[in-house]
Amino acid sequence: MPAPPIDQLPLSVPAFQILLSLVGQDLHGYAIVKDIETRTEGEVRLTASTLYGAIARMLDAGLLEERDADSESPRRRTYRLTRAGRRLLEREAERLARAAEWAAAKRLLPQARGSR
Amino acid sequence: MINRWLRHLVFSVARRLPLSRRAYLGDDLTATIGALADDARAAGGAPGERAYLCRELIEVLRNAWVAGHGRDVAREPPARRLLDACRDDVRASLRQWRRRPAAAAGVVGTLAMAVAAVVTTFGLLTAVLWRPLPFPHEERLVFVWESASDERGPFRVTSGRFSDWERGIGAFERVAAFGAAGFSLDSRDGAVPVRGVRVTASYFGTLGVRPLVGRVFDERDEAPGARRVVLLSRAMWQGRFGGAPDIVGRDVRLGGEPYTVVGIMPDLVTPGWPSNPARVAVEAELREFWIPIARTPDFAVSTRAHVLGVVARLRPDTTAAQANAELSSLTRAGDEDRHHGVTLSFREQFVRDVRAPLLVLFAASLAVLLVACANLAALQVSRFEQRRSELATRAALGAGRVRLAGLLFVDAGLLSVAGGVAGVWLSSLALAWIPTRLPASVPFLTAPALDLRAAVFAFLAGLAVTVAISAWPALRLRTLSAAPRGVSLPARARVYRGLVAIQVAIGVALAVPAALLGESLSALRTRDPGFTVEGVLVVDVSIGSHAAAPLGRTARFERDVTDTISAAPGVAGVTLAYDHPLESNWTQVIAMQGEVPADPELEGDVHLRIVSPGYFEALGVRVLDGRSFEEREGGDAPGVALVNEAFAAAHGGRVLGRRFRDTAAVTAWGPAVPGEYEIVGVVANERFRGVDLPSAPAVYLSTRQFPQTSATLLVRAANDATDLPSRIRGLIRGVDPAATIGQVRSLSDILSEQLVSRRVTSGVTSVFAVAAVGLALLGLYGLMAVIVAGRTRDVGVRLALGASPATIARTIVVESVGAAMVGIVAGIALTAVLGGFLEHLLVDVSARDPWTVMVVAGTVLAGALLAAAGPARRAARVDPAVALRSE
Repeated sequence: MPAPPIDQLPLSVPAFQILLSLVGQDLHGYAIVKDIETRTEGEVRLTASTLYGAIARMLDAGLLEERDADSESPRRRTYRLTRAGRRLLEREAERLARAAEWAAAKRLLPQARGSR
Repeated sequence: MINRWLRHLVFSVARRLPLSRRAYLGDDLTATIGALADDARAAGGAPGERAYLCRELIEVLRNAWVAGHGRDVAREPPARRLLDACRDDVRASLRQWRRRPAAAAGVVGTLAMAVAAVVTTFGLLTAVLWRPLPFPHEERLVFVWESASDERGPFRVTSGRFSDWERGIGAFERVAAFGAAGFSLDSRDGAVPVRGVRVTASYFGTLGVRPLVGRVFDERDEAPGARRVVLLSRAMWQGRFGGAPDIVGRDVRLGGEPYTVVGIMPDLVTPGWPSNPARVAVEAELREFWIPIARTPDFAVSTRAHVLGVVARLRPDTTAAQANAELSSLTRAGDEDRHHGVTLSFREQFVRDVRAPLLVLFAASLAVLLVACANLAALQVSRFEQRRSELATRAALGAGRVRLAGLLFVDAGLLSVAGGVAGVWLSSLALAWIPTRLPASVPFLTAPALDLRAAVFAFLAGLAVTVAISAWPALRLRTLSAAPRGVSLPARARVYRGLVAIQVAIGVALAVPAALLGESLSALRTRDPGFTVEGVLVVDVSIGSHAAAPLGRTARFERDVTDTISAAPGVAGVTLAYDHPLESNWTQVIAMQGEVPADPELEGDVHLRIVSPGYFEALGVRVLDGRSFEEREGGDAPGVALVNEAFAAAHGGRVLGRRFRDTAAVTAWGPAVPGEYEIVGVVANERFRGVDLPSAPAVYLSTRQFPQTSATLLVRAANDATDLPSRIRGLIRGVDPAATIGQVRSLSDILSEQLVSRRVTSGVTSVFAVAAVGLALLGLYGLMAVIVAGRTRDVGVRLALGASPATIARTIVVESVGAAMVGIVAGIALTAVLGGFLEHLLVDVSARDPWTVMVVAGTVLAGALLAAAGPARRAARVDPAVALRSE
């Protein structure tokens, strides 16, 4: 049984966060984990194996591409969002936003956070 | 340290993670793990790093595990993922087995039997060998016996020596003596014989046993002339007195005398009825009551009558070795036999006779489990080959090796669990049933049951089975991608052949001892015990105490009862003896006249047999030399005695006409019996210590000169007199209405009870051996079937080139015999190595008996031929045209 493609909505939490971290910046694996941890204030913490499992499939699916090894640590590769990756992320974000709107309409969310 | 080790572990698993086809991702992964671990250490120290590494390890394993399912692993909750993977494997495995229900039932049944055998014997082993005995601080309890410096003994203890030990052994906190007591009890059904134990007042305190009701004995009860008191067993209180609540304080009549009941004892296995060499009886029917031993002036000095057993409780700070040292240094002037004391631990005393048989059974059951494992392992190997293409497909779709090994492990585990659960259930039934089938002499001090130890053992056995049968296929996973699809016969057949050889070897190594034990048993059954067993009934008869029955009355009763019964229809012979030849228990120190006072140990104990003049004729005991007793030789004639061959041999062969003194007889009877006896005849040995033991020296005295008020009546029934047992009681009652009459039993029943431990060992080992050999032959059949299937094309070519079907069939048969031969030779070698352990259980046959080995080997070879027959026929019938086209 082949793996279900990673490029389908809804994205898993790790996949969404990884793509989000790479918006506007190219990062290597370790930096992605740290970025996610900082941004989510520790709410999402990826293990390295989950990260690379997802990266491998995203590379295969063409959501990411590799950059040359960075100068500080030549063994590590940095990853950049591809056009397809960015489009997928946008669609997921829209989906989440819509979902948030529906939830807000039912007064499930405090107004301040909904507008952020 | 742990962290470094953990880090290595995580790295090595992470490197095996399937990460697309980009190998370098693995390096990035490990580098990232390293960096994250360093961060965790910086933030939380070593525990923080450990926590991170553990989380990472679980995640890596989980990713590896579920990779084969090709899902987006990150999409599902972690616990779910693992469960799903497991459940899928279980389903896949069940699906496989459901397609072949007969095979599945066979596998589970085989395992269930093997596990049941192992867990049951383990349960018996723990119950007998390891469970704590029901006495507080049982490790400090010892038996103490008298020991001579030669190989005889140990012996029962004289009251004089016990008194010395009581005073003089510092290592003993408490010490107590006990002996046999038999009485008639007046009850509603007339006088019935009851059997109990005579004990010193310290007995129950030494053991640490308290009464259910009332009190135990104290020193005042031991004083000569004190009021007679008795403790009843719970069983006797319930059975003979209907559990009367007011029993304590009431009087019961034992041997015609009133005894006041002072208490009821609980159902505990306490030692009683000591016998030589150094045995105690544990049967409940010998423990119906306890009475105090009276401390007469004679008690502290008597060194003639070896009749007591001794138990002692060691002080907390001493060891048995210290006690033994004290015992061997304690001698006294004027000792007639120069015996010294020796201790034996409680457990050793109870289990030494059954330890060897139990260990043999346990080893045999383990062997069966091993054979079953080898058998199932071979089966799994061939299933693995059948599933090769399926597994290869899974691998191609991304399932890692860890994942596939898990699949195989689950497959094997499923069998083990099903077989194990069924096996444990079977063994719980067996453990409840077995004690009810064994005679009371088997010392189950605690009832066998499935305890925690057995459960842990069963679990470990199951795990071992699982690993054993999935190991080889798991190792073969490496070859999945490399080897082309289809059959790689040579490698597979080699392993398979090895597994079959192991099975045959263990089967042979089990069958040879089983055959030897069987031969020993039948040797014992056919061995001449020295007296007639067939058709002889025995019954204990008593006409009261010496005081109540003067000598004249005793002799008259003996004559009347013998005459009455011999005249009854269906009786071929009748005689009387103090005890029957399978229970001879009276040993005595005698002094041979004119024999070396310098070597007093030689005069030691002899078995004392007191028999009617007609005894030897009626029981078919051959008089080898001299003559038998004569009716007219009564108390007023000079004392005459017969001795057995063993006695004659111990005293230089020529004993006719020599004389010996028996002072104990005079002590008991006064001047009414002769104190000195002339040896007038030598008789063949009676094996009264048991048919498996050599005869001990014995002297025979005549009841005419040494009358007994309690004796055993031996009645030889004619062939057709099946109703005789039911008539005997009435016949005796007709002679003396007041006589105490015991149970009527047959000597052959008693003999077979003596052999029960051997019978069980031999029987169970045989069953195990048949199972093991049967499984091995099934395995052999499987091997030949696989070989023939793999060679279809080869055979087709050879047939096409002109080989005859008979030649083809012959090669297959030769191959089967060859595979079996390897196992047989290994099995025989194994038997030769292990034979020593068996030697002392064998009778009239050596552990390396060539005939037995040859017969077993021949049988297994014949089985190998049979196992090859089907596959050989199939090979001979291969159609070359079809075979060549098929591949």
